[in-house]
Amino acid sequence: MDPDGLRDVVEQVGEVAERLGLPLWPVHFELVPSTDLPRLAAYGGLPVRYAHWSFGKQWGRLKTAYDYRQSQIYEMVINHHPAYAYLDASLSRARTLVVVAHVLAHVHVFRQHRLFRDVPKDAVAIMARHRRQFEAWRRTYGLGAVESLIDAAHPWMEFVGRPGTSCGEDPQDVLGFVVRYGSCLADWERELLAALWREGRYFWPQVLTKVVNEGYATFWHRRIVREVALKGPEAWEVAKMQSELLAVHPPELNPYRLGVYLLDEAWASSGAAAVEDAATFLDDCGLVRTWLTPRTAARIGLGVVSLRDGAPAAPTLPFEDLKARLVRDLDHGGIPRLEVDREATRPGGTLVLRHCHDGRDLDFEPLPRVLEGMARHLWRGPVVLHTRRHDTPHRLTCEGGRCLDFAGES
Amino acid sequence: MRPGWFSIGTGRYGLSPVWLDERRHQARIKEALRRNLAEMVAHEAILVSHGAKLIQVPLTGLREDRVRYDPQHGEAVGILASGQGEGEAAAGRATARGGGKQGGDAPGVEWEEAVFTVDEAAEVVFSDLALPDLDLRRTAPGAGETWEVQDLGPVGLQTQWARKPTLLASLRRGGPPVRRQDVRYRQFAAEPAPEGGAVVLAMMDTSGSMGQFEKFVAKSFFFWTVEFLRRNYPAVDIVFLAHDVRAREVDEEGFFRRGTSGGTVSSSVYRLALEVLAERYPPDRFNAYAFHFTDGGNLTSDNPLALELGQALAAATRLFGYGEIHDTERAPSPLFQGFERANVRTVLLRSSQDVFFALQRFFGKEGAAYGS
Repeated sequence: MDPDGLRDVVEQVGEVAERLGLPLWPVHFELVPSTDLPRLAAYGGLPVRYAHWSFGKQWGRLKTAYDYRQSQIYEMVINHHPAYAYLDASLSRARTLVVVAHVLAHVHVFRQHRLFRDVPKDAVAIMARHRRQFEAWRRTYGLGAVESLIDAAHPWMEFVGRPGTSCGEDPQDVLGFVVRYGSCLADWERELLAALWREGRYFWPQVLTKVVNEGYATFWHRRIVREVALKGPEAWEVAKMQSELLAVHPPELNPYRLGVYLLDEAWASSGAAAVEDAATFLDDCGLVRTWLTPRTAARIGLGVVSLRDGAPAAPTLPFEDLKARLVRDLDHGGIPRLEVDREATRPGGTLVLRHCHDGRDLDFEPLPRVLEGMARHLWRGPVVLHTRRHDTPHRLTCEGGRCLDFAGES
Repeated sequence: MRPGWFSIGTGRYGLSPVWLDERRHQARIKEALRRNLAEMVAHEAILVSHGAKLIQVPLTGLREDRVRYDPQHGEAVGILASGQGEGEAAAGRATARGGGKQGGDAPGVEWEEAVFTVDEAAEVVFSDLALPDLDLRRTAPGAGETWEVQDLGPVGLQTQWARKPTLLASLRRGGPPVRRQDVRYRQFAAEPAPEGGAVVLAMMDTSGSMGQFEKFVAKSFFFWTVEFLRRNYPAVDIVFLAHDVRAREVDEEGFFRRGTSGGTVSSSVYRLALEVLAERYPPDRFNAYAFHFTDGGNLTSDNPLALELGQALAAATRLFGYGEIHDTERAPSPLFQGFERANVRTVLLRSSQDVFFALQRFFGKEGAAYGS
């Protein structure tokens, strides 16, 4: 695909999309060699982010997967004004057509969904600025100081509070709480953590709406491609691509498949307005709660699997229970809910965290290291986490480089 | 359709220099390896495999820890193959990923960072080891190397420009003027040279008192020593001597495969070592090194003679290293104490991790920094 060919495709797709009722938002397309897509994906899709070894590791992993053709990334879309879309330049015309239609729908979700409302318009510039700031701190304070802070903060970038709240306001905003109330941080350290908080905040709505986003994009590219006149071999290629996208890899919960079938259900029962509502107001939980019916569950092929080996669990659940389970699994982006106990926490004192236990235990293997990172590098004081394990209350305390687990106390 | 709602880039976009982050990741792997060196050196699998096998080392500090649900217990809702919709049962796994999401960070897939080949491990272990006190003036093949012209190539430094081949190439092409493609440079490579000659005598106790543990530690030390010499000093001679009450010279395979029986008379192997040196490795041409590993159960009546011959061996070599292996808290043998007073470099090994410290003590550039 060359720029001129892409121009034709985008014009063709844009015309059909507008006719079918998908608003066109400004998009900047960039054709990139296939090898650059793993590079983008390693940095969460952003062209420039701060330097950290974990991105290098992630890149190695994605590159290997690409080299062995285990996965191929067709596009990366950045939530920026205008939206940036990086497309694989090696794709055929038919596939580019599908990808462009997919991208336009993603951009529409970014623009109209309520959870994306407070994402800054210039994310790319902000993150490029972070890179320069981090580099300046590395020169001034040394690699060790900067890296240990990032290492300790990375697990907490998933605990940045609900969209629409300010830094440290929401009880679920653990990282923001440290930024705002941590009493042992130097100015530059607080600024660095605030930068990480902003980046976490950029990604968080995407985590909450993965199924909605992919489902909506798949829904729209299918609709658009149907309206475009395709030649025989192209129609075949599009059908093949669609099949790959919706394929079942048991027991993986393919978000494209889950999302598009739920939106099909919305479309079948309440028409286009219901699909638009889903892409404006619902997160993944809400989508399942609103539109999962026994018929759709069977179409998708939902079932309960054991986490240990991915095998189907023996007794099949009744539909209502299955639905409740799926809602629980997708809740909070599949990440445990932790809250800062503001009553028990004093700046300069002990940071008290509570896990809102919903029947699933936490993984106790990495937990001491995560808490120790918090106690040593971020909060710089004692940290306590209250949770439950095997129906027993547990209290993990981290103080002075030692992490202890007390069972049976509340 | 509003005109100009989209734009297409020129291909001049910037991306983070990912190789810098990748290099830092590799450096962290090396750091973690270094922290685990003692355990790694003592890894039994290395000794058994004796080749390009993989070893696993726990590398803390490289995992990306997250607060997660316990992946070992409980159930989750997934998609089974029994769906009735489109596109089921795929063979491949080609999946598009979009929306600028953070790419596949499924927990628990950390295998790739904990597995190394013996080669990679050896590179880290050997990076600060060397034969100590090596005298480069001794004129036998060994540690010395010289730079020889290997080849003529089209690239190189100006000072390595080869005039004659350049002109010949020009003539062969059809005569002057000399063009860029005619220019030839000399290319050099290191070749072993007859200087810094060295020989290493590996002496191992194979008496019946050497238990499983003692044998493992001794063989482990010699395995790494041989690997180290083959890699860093390919021209150095290695002589393998095994002894119980008598000593004999054996080949490498026999040395590492040897069973154990009989009593221990250390003086026998020291005498053999001195004979080998006197007959085959004249001191004006060779730097000699000798290492003896034993459980310290030397025959009491042999101790004075062993001490005397050991000191003679120490005088005839650049370094005589004596390693004694105990897995109990018993005191070092009289021979060990005698050698210690006589300034022989000694080391006491109580666990398999100590093999690494023995290597450091004998070959480490800072000498006794890791001493027992």
